[in-house]
Amino acid sequence: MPFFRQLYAILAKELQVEWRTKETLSAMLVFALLVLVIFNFAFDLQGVDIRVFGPGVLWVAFSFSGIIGLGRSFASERDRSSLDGMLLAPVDRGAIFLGKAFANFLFILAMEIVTLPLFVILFNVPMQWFPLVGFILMGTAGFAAVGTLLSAIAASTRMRDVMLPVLLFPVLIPLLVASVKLTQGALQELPFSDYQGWFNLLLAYDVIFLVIAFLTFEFVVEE
Amino acid sequence: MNTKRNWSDILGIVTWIAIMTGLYFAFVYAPTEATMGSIQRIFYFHMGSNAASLLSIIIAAVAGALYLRSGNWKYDRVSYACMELGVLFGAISLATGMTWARPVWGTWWTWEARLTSFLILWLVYVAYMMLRLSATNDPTIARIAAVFTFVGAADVPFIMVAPRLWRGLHPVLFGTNAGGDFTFNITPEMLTTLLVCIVAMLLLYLWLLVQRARLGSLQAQVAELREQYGE
Amino acid sequence: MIETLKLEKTFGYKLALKNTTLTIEPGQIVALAGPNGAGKSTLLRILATLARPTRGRAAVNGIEIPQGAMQARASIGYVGHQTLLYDELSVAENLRYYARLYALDNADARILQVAKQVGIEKRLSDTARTLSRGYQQRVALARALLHRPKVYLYDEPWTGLDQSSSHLLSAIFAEARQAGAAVLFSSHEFERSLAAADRALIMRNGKIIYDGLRAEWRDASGFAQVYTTELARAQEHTQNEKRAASGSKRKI
Repeated sequence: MPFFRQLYAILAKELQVEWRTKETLSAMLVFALLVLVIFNFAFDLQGVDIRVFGPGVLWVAFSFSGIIGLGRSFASERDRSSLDGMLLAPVDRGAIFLGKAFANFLFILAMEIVTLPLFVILFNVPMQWFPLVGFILMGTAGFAAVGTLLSAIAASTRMRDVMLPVLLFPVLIPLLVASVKLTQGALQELPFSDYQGWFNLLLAYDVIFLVIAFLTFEFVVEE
Repeated sequence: MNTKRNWSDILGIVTWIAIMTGLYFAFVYAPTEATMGSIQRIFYFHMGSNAASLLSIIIAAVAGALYLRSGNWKYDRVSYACMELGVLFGAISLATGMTWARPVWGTWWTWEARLTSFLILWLVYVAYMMLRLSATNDPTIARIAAVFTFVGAADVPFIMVAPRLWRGLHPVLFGTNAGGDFTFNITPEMLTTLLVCIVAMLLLYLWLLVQRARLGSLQAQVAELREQYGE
Repeated sequence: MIETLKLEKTFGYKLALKNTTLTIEPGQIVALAGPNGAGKSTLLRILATLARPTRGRAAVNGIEIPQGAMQARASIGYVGHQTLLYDELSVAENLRYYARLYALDNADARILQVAKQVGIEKRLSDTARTLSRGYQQRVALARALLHRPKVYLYDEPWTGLDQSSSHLLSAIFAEARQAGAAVLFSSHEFERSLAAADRALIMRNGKIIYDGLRAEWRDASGFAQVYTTELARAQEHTQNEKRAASGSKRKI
């Protein structure tokens, strides 16, 4: 199937370019760490139940730092119009989207893999890995899907750096709230039925936005 | 052009009559609510603007889809006008909601489910306006704006459900009472008033939509003429 | 090979391309000249399926675009203002990436073949960033040759190439002619570019105002003369039109 071969080619190229420079990843990591530190000072989190307040801190760090990676995703392509290279080739626009979105998913995930242990250490969180890891994967998937589409939208405007957060956050709020609630549930070891509503909401969000972004991506990138 | 003009004038007159009738119903005809007093009357307009601000993004997304299919600028102008009215009616809805909340709940703002939902929805409209302002009038911005209305419209169910899962506290007008203290019993007169006011607000919305889309079309003509006859 | 019928493109309210009807036969090499903003790049981008026309029809290699764009893309070789290379990757990695996008079989052999054609076979493992602009342009040419296109659309392909390497393009075009491909390129350097062309077009304000075979202009200096007179004539024509238009405006 050329679709999957092309998707793989785009994904491999994204990872290869990032691996050579590590610019985006290192910026994301430093930023996530800064958010954790600032939160600690801004809200004195000593003495409060970190299992209740921690998830909010964690997802703010994830989303703020993730936006940095997403913003770079298309800005660099637009700058040297290398996006044209992909558009010129007989590649399904859906494959371009999936390649880009999956690469962004992996970048954000890589940042989270480092940030999560830091969060556990810095805030003394009594950690429950299962099912938290699954919830983080779900939250990150939806984030990467809608973020990749809106990053492409923001990249075609004049104020691309400012536009991405302005466009993304209002749309992202349900996903963030759901992810925070699921993280709270997992850390507090609540029974699954207590937060199943949030699980369903996040799952529906992931599926719907993945489909919408996949189908509408071509209108965003084509001239 | 002329018949179109007449049509929108008639719509304007009908809207004016509807608004006047709505005002009469809301302030004279409807009885004063027993526990909340006269402030409850703001509800009649609150509900109408709620409906308009919720409808805006859906009509905008449909118009956006038609634009992408046909490339006809008319649909883009309608989509843009809807989102602009979304900002306006969203603001009316938030303002009336807050005015009502002050005496009844004792606070201007509370992170109550529906207030929160409409605030987030309003932010989506504002984000769209930012997007439109950040580019000039060319096909690219119209297309990406249309895609953004799809994303926004798809987000509406989540925006509505998420804060409700999060917390609840809002007068339940119809059906069974879930919240307790803040509900009231609606009389038949109140229901009639509510319906009249919703219709009046939606007519106002429609009239403004027609006017705004027409203004957009005139602006386009001006730009085209300017392009033709000298820079 | 390339056909357009009343092709038009507007950006906002600005007409970038007006009523363009054009046919280019297989084996024909066509130069496109004109001042900046004349619509040369727009025409090339539409034919390369990078931009959609606002009105009118176009077909490339017998495939109607933009409807059949996905199919047409496999037979289009486009070189634009940018090299479309990734600075961080080596020349070979860049070419391998594009070979995969075009779903080429036997990619490595083909990469070596085009690398030899444009004289970059010794630089394959160099990072694209470290190459001079001239070598980057050669890689860009290699990228556009990889998939053996039937239609060559080159926008200012001489950019960055020095005098000694401009024969590369002549050789590429000659090979294209032999293979029965069609070439449409834009350039404002008549000396270098017109030696390769069989036919030349002049565009101004989104319109083709001149279309002539080599017999009409013979060589670069002959074409320079044609270019000056045609542009002057078109300018006068527009001024007359404007005067007429402002006259009718007063009547309103």
